[in-house]
Amino acid sequence: MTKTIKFSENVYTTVCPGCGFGCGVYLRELMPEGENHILNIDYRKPSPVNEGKLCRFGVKLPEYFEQTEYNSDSFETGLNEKHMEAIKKAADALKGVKSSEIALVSAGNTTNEEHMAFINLGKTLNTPVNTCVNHVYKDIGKLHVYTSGNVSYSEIENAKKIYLFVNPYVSYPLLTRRLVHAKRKGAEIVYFGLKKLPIACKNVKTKPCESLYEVDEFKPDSETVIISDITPYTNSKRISEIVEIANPEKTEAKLLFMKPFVNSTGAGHLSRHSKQKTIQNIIKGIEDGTIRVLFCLDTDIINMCLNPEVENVLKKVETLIVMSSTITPICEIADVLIETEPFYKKEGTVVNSERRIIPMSSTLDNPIRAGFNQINEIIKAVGGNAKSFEDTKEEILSEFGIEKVDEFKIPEVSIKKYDVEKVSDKLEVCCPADEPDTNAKFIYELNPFMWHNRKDENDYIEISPEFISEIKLIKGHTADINCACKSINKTLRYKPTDMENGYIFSQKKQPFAKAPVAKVNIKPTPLVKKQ
Amino acid sequence: MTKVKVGDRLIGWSTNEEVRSNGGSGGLVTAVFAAALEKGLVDNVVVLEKANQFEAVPIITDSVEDVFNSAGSMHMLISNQTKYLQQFKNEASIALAVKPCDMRGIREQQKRNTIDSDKIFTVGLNCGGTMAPFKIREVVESVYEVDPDQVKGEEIEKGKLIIETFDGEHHSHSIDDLEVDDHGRRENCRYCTVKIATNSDLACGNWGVIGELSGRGTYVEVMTEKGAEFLQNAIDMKFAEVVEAPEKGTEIRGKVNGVMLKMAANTHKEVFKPIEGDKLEDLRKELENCIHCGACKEVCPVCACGVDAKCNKYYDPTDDYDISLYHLIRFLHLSDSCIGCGQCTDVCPADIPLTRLYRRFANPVQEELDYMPGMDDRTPPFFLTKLEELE
Ligand SMILES: Cc1cc2nc3c(=O)[nH]c(=O)nc-3n(C[C@H](O)[C@H](O)[C@H](O)COP(=O)(O)OP(=O)(O)OC[C@H]3O[C@@H](n4cnc5c(N)ncnc54)[C@H](O)[C@@H]3O)c2cc1C
Ligand code: SF4
Repeated sequence: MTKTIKFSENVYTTVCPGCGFGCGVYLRELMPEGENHILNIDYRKPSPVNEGKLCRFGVKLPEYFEQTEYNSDSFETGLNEKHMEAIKKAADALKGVKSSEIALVSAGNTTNEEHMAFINLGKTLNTPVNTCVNHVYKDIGKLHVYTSGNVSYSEIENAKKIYLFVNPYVSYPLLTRRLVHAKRKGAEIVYFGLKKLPIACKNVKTKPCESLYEVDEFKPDSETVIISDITPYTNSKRISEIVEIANPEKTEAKLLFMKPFVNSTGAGHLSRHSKQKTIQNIIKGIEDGTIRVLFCLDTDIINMCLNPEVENVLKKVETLIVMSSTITPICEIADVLIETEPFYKKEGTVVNSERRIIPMSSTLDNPIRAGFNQINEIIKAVGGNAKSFEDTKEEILSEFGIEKVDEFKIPEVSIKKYDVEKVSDKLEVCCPADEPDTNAKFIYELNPFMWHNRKDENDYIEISPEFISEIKLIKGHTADINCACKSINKTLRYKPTDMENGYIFSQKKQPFAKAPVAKVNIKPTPLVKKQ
Repeated sequence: MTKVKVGDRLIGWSTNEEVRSNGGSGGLVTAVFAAALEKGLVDNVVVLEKANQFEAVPIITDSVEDVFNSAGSMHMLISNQTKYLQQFKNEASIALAVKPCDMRGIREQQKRNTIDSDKIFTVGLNCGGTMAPFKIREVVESVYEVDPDQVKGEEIEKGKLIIETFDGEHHSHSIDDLEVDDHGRRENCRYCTVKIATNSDLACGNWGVIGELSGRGTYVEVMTEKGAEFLQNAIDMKFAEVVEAPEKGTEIRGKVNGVMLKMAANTHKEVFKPIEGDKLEDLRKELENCIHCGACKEVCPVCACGVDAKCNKYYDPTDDYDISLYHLIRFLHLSDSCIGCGQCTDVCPADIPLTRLYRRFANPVQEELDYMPGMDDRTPPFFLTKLEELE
């Protein structure tokens, strides 16, 4: 045989960072001698979460990492000069202001270990770590007990009745197979929304702002599993009503709240006792100058917000520190950028939406802990006591009340009640509700591509066939949509979908809609005569 | 003994006692790989890095020690090695153990020029079937009533799945019984008709190893010149020993294979019962939960179309057809080449029984064309350019 290139290979047993479902996956890093590494995925069939299956985001993970990672080889030999310089700048900025003028944000896009170290930094600075999804709770103390995972995915398969408030095909695709199994076993699946889902036995028309007290079909009992989600855009009133009506303590109905980020549940749990700010409060604080240093740990507020104007607000903060494992829009405007190793190279744990603690490991002899070490360096530089990785792991185990990480067992966690600031329970809409010049309501279907600002071939809107006839959209052509104030217009392809009239769905961020539900005007794109 | 040659049927084993006892049946395969590395016949060997009895990942190595440590059979490693090999883009020389369906995928890719046969050496392992790790984990807990973390090893013998625990106990259940509840082998394995990888360089297995060599030797059939060279090398380097296979052993091997094929034919009949009623509606229902993730194409060992594949080109997410063109094109396009390896079903996030659907299209086509992909040296019938003509 002819001699050829020398290869070496690392395999990372990791978790897909796409959403909070927590799909297990192997990331294969192939290193041809003297050339850039090549990434591939392998389907992790022993994973208790997804049994090797992935959605269209997960399937494209190699591309996602290749396009967003920093030169990952640079982390293998420890922190370099560039990292240390950024760490010093970050520490100086944090030391130069009062505690109340700092906002630390980590929404759950990194490991528990890094989040815990970040909390430790927060303790040193006397400021909490904000997770950014807390605004949805009307009465956090009451609801958190139910929203932190109290039903496993396998329990879905054995449910007799399932009430769905999320579109699994789009938002949490791996739920689909659990629902398929449940249906095969005879479960009645009821979808409360505006689309007709094939998986549902019954689709109950439920508008985003509609009170569930007025939806007769919503009658949870001891045999019901209710699946909804909590994102930075969730309507808090809806969540409260689900919990109030289901009243799990009385009815024994089970609740599963899916989460948008890979470690939303873990971050939420570890930060549960802190008095957090909402994202709106942070933005307001920057605007009025009460927040002078914003430190985001793997949280891109620009990606997260539907309103692009947030970028201009962030530019106003005195020091924006961004520590990130991916190249994202917020990195571009950061005053201090601390680059860390890509997520798949991280060692540690994450907690998925069913509250399963999932370990991440690799075939490397020396695990890379760049992100963790960088936070520790900042802690030391601001005069705190950095904890070792091992001690941090122990602390996390004790927070979850377990002795060792076992991804095959979901730990029982008694969740104590705690407080955060109360916020409005109204769903934001970008334009006044009584805007006369609109003919449709535009609704986002949140999904991993959107949270991660990824190029997505699903750049189209969905609309009912009846509505298509009504507004005379031409087959094979496009539709023009503008926001109520008419300042922004976009031409988009459309897909006829079995759904409610007068609504438009999109899986992609659109410039004319800056809130989860927005009033818009849709009409056929004028046919321009060819010369 | 005279030099090893194509057509030889031998029983072999590793001369290293530890490898011999850790090996699936005598450690011959490990010995052949280790000797090939040592001699420089290949630069790399694919070994399995085991996390536990339920989990392992293939990984390349150039270390003989790693090869020694990888002896043993994993019945729960269910991925196909074709895609794994393709990553190397023919820039590495690699030796690897393959199941018959792995080899069928590799052979089909060789016809498509994505895998260079000069760069690889394959040892085929007989295969009675593989099992999904998450299902077996569940079964170990619920049927065997054993803590999965206490499992030290697993073995398939005489139609039984035997679980060995760290306390030395053996727990066994009939695979037939497990399969009643869909808990045994994967569905496609149950009707697979290639149990001996005669399409590889060396075809190895324990069927036909009898008497005192039972469990301590591998029956090996030398399929190619390269196979003969590699086996001879292991003998010359004193990594392996071989004896001629006794006639009775060969007879038993043939008989067991015959029984397995008969069982597969019965399952085939059952799984592919004619669909009663509206066939198109049946297909529509099966596919209605598809989320268009494209994983079935990603893992397909015979697909070589790349991003500009017809199935993607003709699929438009804004279409509202009852059945997406993506699937319809794939069903037709693969009907001459589908090897029924089950990868597409394994990765489908909507649990669509894809392999069954592909086979519904492929069975009559392949029968009509008398073509068995991966086992047949002919160019796939649907190809315009015929390899045979080029030669
Ligand atoms: C899934 C499976 C099913 C089998 N079913 C039968 C059967 O029904 N009848 C029969 O006669 N023999 C069967 N065998 C073959 C048998 O178990 C032995 O592997 C074979 O006899 C060679 O033994 P050995 O000791 O020489 O191999 P070893 O020296 O143990 O070497 C085996 C090599 O194969 C690799 N390997 C192990 N599992 C896999 C896998 N799943 N995929 C790819 N590589 C792997 C190992 O890493 C090692 O390199 C099966 C093997 C497997 C893996
Ligand atoms: S994005 Fe979510 S559902 Fe999709 S593969 Fe990743 S974790 Fe699974």
